[in-house]
Amino acid sequence: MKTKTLIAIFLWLIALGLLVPKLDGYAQLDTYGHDSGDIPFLLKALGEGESIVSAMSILQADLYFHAGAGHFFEEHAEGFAVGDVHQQDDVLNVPAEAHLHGNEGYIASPWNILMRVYDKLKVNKHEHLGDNEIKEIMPWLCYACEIDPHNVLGFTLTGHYLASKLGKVDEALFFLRKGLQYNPDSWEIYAEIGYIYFQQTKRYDAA
Amino acid sequence: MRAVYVIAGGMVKELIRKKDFYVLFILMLALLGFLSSQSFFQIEGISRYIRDFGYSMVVIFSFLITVMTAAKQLPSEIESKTIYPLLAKPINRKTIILGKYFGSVFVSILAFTALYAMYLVFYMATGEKKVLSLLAEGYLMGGLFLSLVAALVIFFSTFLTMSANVAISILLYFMINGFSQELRNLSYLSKGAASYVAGAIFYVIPHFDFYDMRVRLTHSWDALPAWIILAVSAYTIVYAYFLLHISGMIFGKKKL
Repeated sequence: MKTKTLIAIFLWLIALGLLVPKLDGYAQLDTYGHDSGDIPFLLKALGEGESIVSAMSILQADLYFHAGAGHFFEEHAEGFAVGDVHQQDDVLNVPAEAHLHGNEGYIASPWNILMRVYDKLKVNKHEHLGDNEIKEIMPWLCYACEIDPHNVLGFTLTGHYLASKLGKVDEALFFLRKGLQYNPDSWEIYAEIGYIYFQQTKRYDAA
Repeated sequence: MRAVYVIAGGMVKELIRKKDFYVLFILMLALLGFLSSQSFFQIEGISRYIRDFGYSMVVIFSFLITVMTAAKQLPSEIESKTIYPLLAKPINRKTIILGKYFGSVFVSILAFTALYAMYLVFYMATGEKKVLSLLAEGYLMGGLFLSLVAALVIFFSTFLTMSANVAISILLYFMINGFSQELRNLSYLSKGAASYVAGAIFYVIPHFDFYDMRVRLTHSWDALPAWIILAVSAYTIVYAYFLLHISGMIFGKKKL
């Protein structure tokens, strides 16, 4: 019985190994000019799952940007957050008291003890990471690009934070160019490279 | 009391003999070691994601050990008929339930302590400002969490098989952690019966999310006020007592 199970597992693994490159065919079309062999086998096997996990990684970066507290009902009325790299520096001028609760604006009644305890347990202060802490979001942005190299937002965000917040302009430009290899048609990455040349290096001709 | 101590002592020996704990301990060590060795654009001092992963692993691994330990106690003893010598002794069935419960809690907290100690080593290594009160709260909340989980699993084990118990407990854990906030909002945002039903469910479910200190520890938020810790402790005691009382009743009436 055990031998049969092992043989079945072995056959399934061989079948998976043969199928994955075929399934990945659509990805090769998008990455012409780039060898899809560079993409790890496991990520190929994950298929569409990789873009979902990558998007979740970006959301996690956003959560870290808010020191784990996430978005609140009252803030970001325009809907911008970590993803809107050029706007977030001018964070909406929301009064501090509006951020004291993150529960859709509804505060539990004094008699509703369990919900009051629940609300107190949650971190419910609005905070953005300072310039010296912004590095904490980098692992998630980096993982997002590693998991799904077609995640353009991951590349532009990483490039932006590296250049404008962490002062690593060369690394940012190198990383964005790497993103272009995977996404040669992405105007967003070109725009970010131009933005960095314009803002950080003051090389207006290159921008 | 002596009977409870003897039953619990047997469970501790089981933890030491079984490989589950050692595997999880080594896995956590390897994963944290790997994460610590990662470098992102040669930026130094990135530490929050290690603390985040570290605490998550401590909680999830301890939770798994608790579920595995508590879930197999009654069903396996009934199946292998080793429960009969125990029943033949002058101890009632509620004492057996209590013994299994305290044994599970002791084993879980033992495993949690070892994993938490490893987490502390990595926490200190990140160079983060040491907030003793926050770390102590993290440990206390972990212990309370495992006490509640053990009570729930013991309760399930009075009428479920081990595999069903494990599956339901894990499912409940993820569902409660994932949907408590939605349930809370639903009870406020909806009207009429839906609001009452959501509110009632919110009160009935075991709130595993009460004990989650991950965000506070990862992002170094303020420690919780003492009255909240007391309220959560009281909640745990009341909930666990209720579950164990029902378990005793079910097990007492069970035909063996």
